[in-house]
Amino acid sequence: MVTHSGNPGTVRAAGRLNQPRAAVVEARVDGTPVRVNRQPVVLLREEWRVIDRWWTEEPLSRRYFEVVLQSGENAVVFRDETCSCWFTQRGA
Amino acid sequence: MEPRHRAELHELGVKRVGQLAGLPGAAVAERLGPDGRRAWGLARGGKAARVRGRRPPAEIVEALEFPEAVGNELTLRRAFVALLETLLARPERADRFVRKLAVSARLVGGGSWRRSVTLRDATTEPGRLKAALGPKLAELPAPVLELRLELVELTEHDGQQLELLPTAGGELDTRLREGLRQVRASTGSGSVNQVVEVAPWSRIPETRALFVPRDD
Repeated sequence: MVTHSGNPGTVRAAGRLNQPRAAVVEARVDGTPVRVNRQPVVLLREEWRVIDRWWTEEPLSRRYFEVVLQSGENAVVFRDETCSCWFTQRGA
Repeated sequence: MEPRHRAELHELGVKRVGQLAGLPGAAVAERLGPDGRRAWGLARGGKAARVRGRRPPAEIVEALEFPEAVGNELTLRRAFVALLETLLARPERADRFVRKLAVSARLVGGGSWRRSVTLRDATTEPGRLKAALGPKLAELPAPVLELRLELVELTEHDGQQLELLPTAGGELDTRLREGLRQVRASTGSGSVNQVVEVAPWSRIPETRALFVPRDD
């Protein structure tokens, strides 16, 4: 039998990797971003949609854009179409 | 003690436990019979045997709380393996081998679930432990909010023949652990995390992997 260790158990709260972060994005009428966090977008590399969990009470509908900013940074942003908010996300 | 015996003691002037304990045992037994003898023994503190404390049940436990309910078996298996590795690295195990281990879960809707396995040969090989308990995850009746793994019983220190030669990579592993210990010492608890890929196929990036704090 195991003797009492004094510090028996640990509950570790697992966190999510690559959580979306709120972003300030200016977009054209067609919805493509022109500025991300006040940096101009110089190239729109790719665009795709993710529609998931439509069968749950928390459906997910996102329009993703992979862009290159003026600083040379690659960034992925998406517009959450359920709340009309913009986010940046790594690992997308 | 029977009421008539209590009354008899009272009439004899024995009103306190200490007074009863001070009487000769044989005299008490003669006057009050087995009932009186037992009361006399209890008054003197019971049997002379050494007091043995109750051994508490398993206390080496690791649990993982998910950000949202998980019903996917593969995800649960990956979380199970991460918990197993963390649990085997706990210093309280002190190189002892695992004889019995249990997996339990807190389920959506407030229920709970638990399965345990006793191994014929105690071991610390993650592969064997995983093979013994991992398939039980398929029996989970509902999505899981928290998964918990527990070393229920360990062998003594000399329970198994130790290896003659250290395993390959053992020294590297020790160095890595020492390095992580130093990082933790300088930056505090929770600063070292392990990334556990739980649903790499997911279209939602934030659900593909979790990070789990490692304080071992």
